[in-house]
Amino acid sequence: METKPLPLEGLRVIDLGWVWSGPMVAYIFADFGAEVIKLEHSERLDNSRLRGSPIINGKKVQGESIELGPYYHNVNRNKLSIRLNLKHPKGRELFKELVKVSDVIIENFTPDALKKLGLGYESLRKVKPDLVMLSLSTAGQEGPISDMRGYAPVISSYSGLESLVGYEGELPLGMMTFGLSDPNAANHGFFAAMVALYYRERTGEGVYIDMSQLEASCAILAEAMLEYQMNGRIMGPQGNQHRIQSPHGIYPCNGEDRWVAISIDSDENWRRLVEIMGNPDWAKDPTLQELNGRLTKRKIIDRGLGEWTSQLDREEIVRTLQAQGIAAMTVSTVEEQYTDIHLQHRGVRQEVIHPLLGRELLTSVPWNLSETPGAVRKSAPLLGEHDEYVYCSILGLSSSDIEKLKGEKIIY
Amino acid sequence: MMLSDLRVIEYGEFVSAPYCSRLFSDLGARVIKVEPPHVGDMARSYGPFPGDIPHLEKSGLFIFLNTGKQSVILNLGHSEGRQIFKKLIDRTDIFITNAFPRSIEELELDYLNLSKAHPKLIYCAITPFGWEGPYREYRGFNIHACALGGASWAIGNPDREPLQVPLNQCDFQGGINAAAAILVALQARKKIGRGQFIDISVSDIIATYTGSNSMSYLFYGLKWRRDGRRAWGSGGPYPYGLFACKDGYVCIIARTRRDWNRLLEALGHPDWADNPRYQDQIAMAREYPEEVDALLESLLKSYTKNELFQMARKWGFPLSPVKEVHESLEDPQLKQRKFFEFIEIPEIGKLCLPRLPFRLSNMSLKPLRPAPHLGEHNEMILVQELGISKKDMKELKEKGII
Repeated sequence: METKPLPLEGLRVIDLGWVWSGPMVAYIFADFGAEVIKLEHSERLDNSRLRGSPIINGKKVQGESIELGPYYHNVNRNKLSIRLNLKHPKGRELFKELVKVSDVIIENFTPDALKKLGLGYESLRKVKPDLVMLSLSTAGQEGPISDMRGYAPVISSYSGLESLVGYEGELPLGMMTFGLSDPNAANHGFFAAMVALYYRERTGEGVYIDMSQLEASCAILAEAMLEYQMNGRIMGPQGNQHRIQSPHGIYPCNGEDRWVAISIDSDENWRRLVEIMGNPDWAKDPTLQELNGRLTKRKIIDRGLGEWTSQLDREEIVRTLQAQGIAAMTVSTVEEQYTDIHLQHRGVRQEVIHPLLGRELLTSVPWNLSETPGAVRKSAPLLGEHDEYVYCSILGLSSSDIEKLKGEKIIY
Repeated sequence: MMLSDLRVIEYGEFVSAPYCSRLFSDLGARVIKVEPPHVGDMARSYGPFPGDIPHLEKSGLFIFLNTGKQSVILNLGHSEGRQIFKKLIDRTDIFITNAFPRSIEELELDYLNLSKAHPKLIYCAITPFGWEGPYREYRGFNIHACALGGASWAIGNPDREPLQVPLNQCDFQGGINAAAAILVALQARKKIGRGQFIDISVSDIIATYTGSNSMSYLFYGLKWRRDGRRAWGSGGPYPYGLFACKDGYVCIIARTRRDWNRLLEALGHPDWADNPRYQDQIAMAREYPEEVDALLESLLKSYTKNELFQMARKWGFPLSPVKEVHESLEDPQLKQRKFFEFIEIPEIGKLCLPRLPFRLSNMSLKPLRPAPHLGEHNEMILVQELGISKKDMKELKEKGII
């Protein structure tokens, strides 16, 4: 097989990220070939290592639990791991040596945390003038609530996104399980970092990126902001409705907890659907032949359509409707990702072998680039697995230097 | 401007492709939007509209997604329309579309066809299910990508139908993922000397989001399933969810022992922390969350969202009011960071629009420019730049091509 080139090979990235958003930006770099060095310290681990030992095939896995988290493994694959204490002056000196030979730093600490250590962008650009640095904080580096502590759902509650999730006309439920804010912020952050690198190549200049996860959530909610500005209307829980499609919803199917998503985007498709349903009486209402009528009588349509779907298997509904050009899809569980023929075909999950857990199916970066695809190539590193490579081979320290630093708990 | 040397052609509608190219436009790239005759991009018919009166130039979603672009009307169903389109592709770096794969192939405007004459072109296609795989011929929208991606399964009440991610948020993910992938392809182009095809599927994106997050559930005896205002089993230690207070809901995530104790102390009940029943945050999450919710909400009911937010900031635990989206327009944090910008739309008046969610140290953004009227730049681009004569323009108009 021809090996395709990795587009970001040659870039070195330092990942100071925590949990999801920062580490996700870094693993995208790594999947496309950048050398990503994740930096932790035993007294200050990425807290996604602290979720305990996983249960596999009904058994709790034995061993050092900080090395066993599948979640951590997923968002830190393809990376190198080093240990370094940034609170120690010698640790900071060593960090600056590493910055000198790196291109990008990614961090999602609270604002000022790095500045307090003397490792803010202004200090680091003195040792590396064309550094690109991405700070991915909750609400931005400055402003009245910039010190706010926030995990993703806290941020999407503040932006108003969670208030839109719930059944129409009822109280909000939010989507606490799904969690859109982190990956949304990570992708906006990766985009910004790549823009900065593009600019750096043209001008030779470094770039500091002050990115706000709150703003990333707000940036894609303009519709509700404009509804308010134009009509004074506050958008609440949206249910499964759509502004210009009806029917549009999720309907029960034959079997327990089986559902299908269906939407009708034209009068012609409505006529096809009515025919497929066998022309039931309720659907003959002439006012339903046009979108406005269907939007007004949404509830009646949803009931009638739901009665029809509940007698049929979801796969059969999807096949039948799609054959007529009607948008329909099964509502899948997350476990079905392993078996769905389409998602499998597209390589949404990629296999690696982890030294402690064995075979793992990780989530790809789902961008299919024809000439320079990214890939999951290596399992997540063990803590400090690459201390020797980074400190000796890259920074030129001797083995005895390293032993000394280990003794001082700087590399620890 | 960071991307001012780039030229982008967008043949897109609704959310995903237009959001993608808007990001390029905001950073200085020139973006030309090719729209079909008569109604143009479907987002022009979407709204919201002032006074709820539909008008192709007054759709809020369209205006937001297309600021700063140029609009050319072209009937690509017509061979002369395609000829003009191919001229537009000359000197273009990036082509972005979210058209249905088969319709693009029928127009012979797919990557194989365009890349022959334009090997450096980066061609990005964003669709609900992607260009390859068993569902490539399937039609779909935001709700279908949520459904296949495993998001809907985890949204809603346990005994009722699953819910979509609202307001086309999944399509927006298609847009930002595509924009990021295009930047990777631009980097690759410097190395390999040519462009490439990028196939972005919104379902894939959502499946990787849920796939990643669900690892904290499936490997710890928790279900990836909807459970109302809570994550299933709180997704780990309690509390993690939305809770009712005096005037609405707050989101509380106080999973660490320290945050849980701070929360109880702030609410005036530090004694709870001494009760063994309220010490084991895993048992609380999995075995009797309803009981703890009720106790917690009985305390929260004495406070407004804002009082609780101030309390959380003072005590240092993560809590946020569940705000309504419009509140962000007046938010002091967003104001201080100049996140919003007012833009004057001739037909409507002043509108306040969000800008990019990041500041780049060497760049101040240009003021926002309005979204283009349907075909506003036909004359400028087709006559002045492509050199089509006035006479030919008249003919093309009569044939319904432009």
